[in-house]
Amino acid sequence: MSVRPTHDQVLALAPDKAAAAAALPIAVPRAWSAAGCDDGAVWGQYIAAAAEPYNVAVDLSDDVGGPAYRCNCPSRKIPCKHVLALLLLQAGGGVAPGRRLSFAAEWLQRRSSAAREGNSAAADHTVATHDGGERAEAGDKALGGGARSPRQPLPGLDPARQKRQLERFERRRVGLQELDRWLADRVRAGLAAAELSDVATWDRVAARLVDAQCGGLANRVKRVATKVGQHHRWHEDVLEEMALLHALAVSAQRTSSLPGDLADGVHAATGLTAAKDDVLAGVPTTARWIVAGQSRTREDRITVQRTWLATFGPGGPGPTNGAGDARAVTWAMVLAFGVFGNELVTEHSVGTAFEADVHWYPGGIALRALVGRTYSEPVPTASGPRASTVAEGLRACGWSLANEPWLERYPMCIRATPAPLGNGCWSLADGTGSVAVAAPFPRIAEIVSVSGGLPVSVMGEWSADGFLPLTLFAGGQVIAL
Amino acid sequence: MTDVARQLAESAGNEWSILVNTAVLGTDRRPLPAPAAGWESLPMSDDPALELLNRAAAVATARRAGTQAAPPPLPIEPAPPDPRPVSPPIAADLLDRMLRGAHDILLPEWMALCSVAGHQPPPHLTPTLLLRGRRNPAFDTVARALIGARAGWLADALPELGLRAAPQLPPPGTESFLPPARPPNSAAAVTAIVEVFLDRSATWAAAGHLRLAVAAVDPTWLPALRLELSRAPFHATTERSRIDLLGLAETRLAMIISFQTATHRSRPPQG
Repeated sequence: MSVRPTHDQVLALAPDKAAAAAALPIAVPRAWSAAGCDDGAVWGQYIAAAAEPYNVAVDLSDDVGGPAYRCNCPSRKIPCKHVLALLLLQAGGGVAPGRRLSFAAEWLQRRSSAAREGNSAAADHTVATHDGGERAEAGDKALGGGARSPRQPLPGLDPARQKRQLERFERRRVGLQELDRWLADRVRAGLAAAELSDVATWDRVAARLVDAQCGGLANRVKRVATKVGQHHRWHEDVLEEMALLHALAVSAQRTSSLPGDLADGVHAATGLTAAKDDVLAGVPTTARWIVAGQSRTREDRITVQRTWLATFGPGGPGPTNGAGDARAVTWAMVLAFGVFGNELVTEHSVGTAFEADVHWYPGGIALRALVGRTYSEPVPTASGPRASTVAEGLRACGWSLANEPWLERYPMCIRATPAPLGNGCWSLADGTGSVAVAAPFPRIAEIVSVSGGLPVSVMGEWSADGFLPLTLFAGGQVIAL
Repeated sequence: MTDVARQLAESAGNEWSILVNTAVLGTDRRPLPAPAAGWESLPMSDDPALELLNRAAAVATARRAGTQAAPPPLPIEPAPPDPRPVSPPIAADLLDRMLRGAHDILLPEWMALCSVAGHQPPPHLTPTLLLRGRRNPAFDTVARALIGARAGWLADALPELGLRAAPQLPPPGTESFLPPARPPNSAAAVTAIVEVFLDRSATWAAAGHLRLAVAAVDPTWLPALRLELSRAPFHATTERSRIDLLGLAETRLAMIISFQTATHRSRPPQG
């Protein structure tokens, strides 16, 4: 096929809609280096956001079997978004004829010499085996190193790997059943039983969950332990958390019967997060993102940092808020992890804004995300995300919680006045009502002083404990709390 | 809240208290009451403990997702209006660092510059200034004079801070919280500072006096001092002092420039 494929033909090659949609924004000359073509092939280097550029080549010379592809990106999709983007670029006349780059020349040479031996299928096979060797060295993530053709089925799973996967699945199943049994035993014996106030009880359960590779649930169990005896109504908090753990343990064993998004949400909550590269291969939301706030928590020896990005209007895939309001704010949560005691590098500083692609993790609601390609340098901004009323903010939280009941925190930016509740506790109030500030919050004095008793824009996280203020936007200043 | 929402919230609340009461005692000791209409679990479990968890998961989710804004409590009185502009962001940032202990020898000068410029201190740092004043009456007098009427308002609004409504009078004989006196000859002071680095006597033990000298010199000599300090030869015994004094000189210069720029901007154009 020496004729270059048209735009529609290229899109028809896409393995799914997401790959096609992800290819469109990167089918621009500035994303490519040394792209070139000749009668039989097209090649180029995709300038990735990080690390080395990806070497992409397509062999168009096979009229019968269709094109064969090569890209060393980690995506498992065939063809990947880079191959599609390169073909789209060529379809649009954006690739000039040129001399083959060395990696493309070498690959095409290998393909043609194998084909000369009279076995076209063997050509692919030979190359795949060759690159497969590299893959084995570099681990799973380098799966994209090989030559890939849609005609050739994916090589079957390595039996040893398959066995490992089955064992892992079985371990998880047993771990989840054990957790559920343990929860039921506690309810049978009563929450007033002394063993619940012993941290070691919870630690043992968490350790079993870690063994069962349910890290997400293990962390959650440890957080429940901190709620025991915290105040006189702690039984309510603990029962609520135990009930949600039960819901997660049951649903994690039945994900195949759940709707796709919900199943993804259950996987994420139990500790099976999507691979970064798969997330980056998804459809991004390109917008101007404001870094609205940052919070940190410590889990064991790990510091977890949440950076809240906000943009105006609906942005993420699927539902993002209940109102469906074009003025609503779309939130994205970017996580960073660091070993406790080490300085956590802050990639995005609060009070700045930048244009970027944000890719969403799968789940019941679009919230956790990764920043992909950035289109502008971060610039300071004094205006925060559009502030809502307290009632609107809580409605958006509630709507997200209805979609993902195990959600632990949700962002809100409200314009409200601090008002005392007594006993050193405070709330933020407006005409629509009030939300209690999570106590103890030692920096309430700063909010009171900045507000001067008048409404002020506060960004923070809602959780079952109350609202945790993170950033103040007042008088053209951004104050990180 | 609509009537339907209110009824639903009430029914969820009742169902929740039944579940909590049963869970506290344990289903072995207390039989699980039948669910109210609309709160049945699907599918029902034969095991009362699992049935309780099923029902609790549904009720807890409904309660969490249905969180409503609480009625607003009584608001605080608004602060008395302050027509003065807020001190510039760079100056505010430097004050924040000084209050955290970085080059806090410059605090009296910051207050004096802010007062001369006719600015109000950054509101988010006002509580910290007042809290610092609790242990330092001389500082409290200056800080409250700078903060103005908002100090008393904040003391009223936040009784938990334990702030006095009126400034605490410093005991007789207490030194005023003022910037260090200018030396009669700043040029000579700068030369002296540089020389101690040349003869390697600027050790960390001497840094206190040197800091005071840097905080006192006439500001017009600060650029020269900064240049000389950045050129001073390296020596292991003096390097720590050199870095410290260089940082101090730079902070002081940035502080003075930020107030000068803000004052210049706020002044109406001449002619």
